Amino acid sequence: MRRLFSAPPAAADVRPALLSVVSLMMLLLPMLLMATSAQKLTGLTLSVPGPTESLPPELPGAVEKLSVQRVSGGYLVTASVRNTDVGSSIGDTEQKSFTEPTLTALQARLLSFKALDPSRDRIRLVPAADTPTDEVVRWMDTVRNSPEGPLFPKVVMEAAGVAP
Amino acid sequence: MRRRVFRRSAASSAGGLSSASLAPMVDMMTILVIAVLRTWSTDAPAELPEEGLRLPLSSQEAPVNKGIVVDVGVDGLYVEGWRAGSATYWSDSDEVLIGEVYEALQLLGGDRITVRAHESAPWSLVGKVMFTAKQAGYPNVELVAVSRASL
Repeated sequence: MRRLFSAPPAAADVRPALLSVVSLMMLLLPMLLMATSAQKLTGLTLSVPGPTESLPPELPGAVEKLSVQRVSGGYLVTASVRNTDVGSSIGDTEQKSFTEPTLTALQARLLSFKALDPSRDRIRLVPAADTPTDEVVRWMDTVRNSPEGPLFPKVVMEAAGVAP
Repeated sequence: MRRRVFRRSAASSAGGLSSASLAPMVDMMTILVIAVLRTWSTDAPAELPEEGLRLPLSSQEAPVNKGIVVDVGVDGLYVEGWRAGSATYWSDSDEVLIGEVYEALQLLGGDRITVRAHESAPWSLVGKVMFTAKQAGYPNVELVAVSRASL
């Protein structure tokens, strides 16, 4: 028999599904907070050859040597750049030196060397003996990456007064 | 009083717990879980041998490889948590090779060391530790820092 007043179709109740998600989150969050650490550590790999080893040779490129030294008043960038003569060969280089006052200026200078020799990925850093470690780490971050992309990811560290 | 023919459904009058009120909560929880997963580390918290040893900050996010841990603290030098020398003495010393650290590293054996240096430790001291590790036959050296992505 047909009813005179039919009830409107009942909408599916989504609350049980949402409640289960919320319950899961409530369990997951404390578990995560208990099982993990708020301090995320990172490892900065340094190239240090063994007593009888030397660093592997680099790919021949326009920039043959590149080092940055901490000096009073900034950072001294020293580079051996191959001559642009048609007949120039490996080792036929020109020494270039620049003193950059800040890390931003240093990064801009290194970007110009990277543009000159994109295949180069190694850089030598020579901090001063009294340079604190956090400054060295900031320095390493600057020479490894820039907003434009990676610079020189392989860092060879030296300390003034300590033989490499 | 006149009786209503069509009553409101019981679900809508329950109050408090409606699907509309749960949705923002689920959104917030999801954002929170993603933030925690992004910034927190599953590694065990670093056990540092000195109270005031603070690691430097870095923008890198590479994982730390397992190796022999050498700590360069404010007060001392430590190999695997055991004190192996005075930081002040070796910082001022003209000697480059740190004898006690060298012996400890040779005893432990391996090819990788993980250096955890205090943020204000002079690089000459960290350089001496690296040089000592190199002489002891550890070519792989890693410097540990706290990622800026940490909470």
